[in-house]
Amino acid sequence: MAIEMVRIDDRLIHGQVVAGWCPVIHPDHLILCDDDIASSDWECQLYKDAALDYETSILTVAETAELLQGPTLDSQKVFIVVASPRTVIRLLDRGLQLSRVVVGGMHFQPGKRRINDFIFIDDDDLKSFALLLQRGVALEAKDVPTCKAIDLAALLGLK
Amino acid sequence: MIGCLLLSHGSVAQALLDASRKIVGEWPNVYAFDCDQVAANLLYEKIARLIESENLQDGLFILVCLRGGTCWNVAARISRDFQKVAVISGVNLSILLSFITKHTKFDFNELAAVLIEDGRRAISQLPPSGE
Repeated sequence: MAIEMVRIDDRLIHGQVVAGWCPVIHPDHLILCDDDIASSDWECQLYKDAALDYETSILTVAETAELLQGPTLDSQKVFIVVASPRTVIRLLDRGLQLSRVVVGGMHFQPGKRRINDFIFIDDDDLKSFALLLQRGVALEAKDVPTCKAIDLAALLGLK
Repeated sequence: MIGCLLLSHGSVAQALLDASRKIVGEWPNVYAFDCDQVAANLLYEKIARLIESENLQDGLFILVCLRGGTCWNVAARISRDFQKVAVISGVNLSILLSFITKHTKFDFNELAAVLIEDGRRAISQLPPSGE
């Protein structure tokens, strides 16, 4: 199995993912990893509809870690979408090895400060990113395929 | 009154509204929002406030640019939570003009079918393929 991309994007499966990235990555399997969404049939159906024809699984963190460390997806290209850096930490805690995470969208909410046009964070997000760096995960900011990759660690002052 | 909310990425929604004003004039029950930068839950709240503050008890059509996109996702949640809200994806100017010129002539359910039919009929090719 090849994890082609792990993307942090609070919009999860949406236009940038389906129309933007999927035709570039050509994933055999798209995984939306989110405990809350995986527990709601309505949400699962909504995001499966949004993924159009791409093979999609909507899984909890535990299920995602198990699937990715088992043989089921051998020889498949996998594209993983999560809403928050905290989800990535939880995947690492369950044994998943990741070298790079792409931050594609963390949108404005009250209490969050602007990093660039598509990244708004609070102190908790910053701590999570620092932890990911400590654990050897490179952080890249890139919303759409034509966007130049930005070194997020530098942008956040974590270097 | 039945209302119409254009909801899009970029300035598509506002541009469609501007274009329609040049063709059929200004209508008080047509609104345009974009879904960029702000988090999805804030967009949901903005639409919920619109429904509650405007006189839209006869229904609301949310016309979104892209099926599967964030606008569509948020509109689907509004449709789940409010009575008489329908979401139509793949908005084009013809659907909007159809809404403006026909919304007083049909009830909500009939109008949904009319808008989709008019929107589909607007997509055509010249010269016809094969000629």
